[in-house]
Amino acid sequence: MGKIGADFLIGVVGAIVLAHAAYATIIYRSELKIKEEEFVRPPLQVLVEVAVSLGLCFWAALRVPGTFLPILPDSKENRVVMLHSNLDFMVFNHRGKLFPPALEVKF
Amino acid sequence: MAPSARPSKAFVKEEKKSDDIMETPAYSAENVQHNMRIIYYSRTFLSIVGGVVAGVLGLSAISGFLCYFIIMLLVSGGIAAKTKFDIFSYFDSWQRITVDGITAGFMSFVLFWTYPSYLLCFALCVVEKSQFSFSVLG
Repeated sequence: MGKIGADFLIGVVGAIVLAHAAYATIIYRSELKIKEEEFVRPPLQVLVEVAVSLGLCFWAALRVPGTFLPILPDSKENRVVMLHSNLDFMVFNHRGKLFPPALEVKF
Repeated sequence: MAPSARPSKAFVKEEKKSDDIMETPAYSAENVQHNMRIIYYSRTFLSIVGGVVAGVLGLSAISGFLCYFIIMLLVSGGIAAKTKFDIFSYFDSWQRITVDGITAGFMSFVLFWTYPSYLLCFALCVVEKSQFSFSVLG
């Protein structure tokens, strides 16, 4: 939970920096409008803020939603290592015996 | 020539059919959906961020769309790095991390690309009105 909180904070900081960059650009363009100059690109400070906020938001977007779970049934995380205490409804005489055994599986 | 080609084709076909039955992997559907949901959330958030960035930088037309595709490419790279480049342990095909979710985030990108421009026009109108009022008052 601590890691998720830290990554979420990083995302919030990235969003705040981006909002500040947007606000600075709006002010800059309004000043250019008063001077009747054409807008070519934002000032260097805004470019740096945009780059920093992009990096922070990328980090948060890839870390906050969670970790990937393996989809293969014979991976370490998906193996059934414990059986339910009530085995009355568990069937062991099924078609699985027709498949060749995976001899590389460690027990 | 033709009759000799046919039996080999049938032999290959039968072998492939039996191989398919043995080698079709059974994926954990719950985990597949979990992974797809993570990709969707990441792409949606970064589409919004990309839209704001394109609006701030003043990108227009093709350069704006190029910005979106560059960001989506970086997201695909980030997702591949998150899987430690072992993609087939978490996804069933390359398309999941390269193509899926790109069109879903596109509308969000366009909305937030134009939204700062709308704010800018509003701000400029406010500035012009204040200039006009100052000039009238003398």
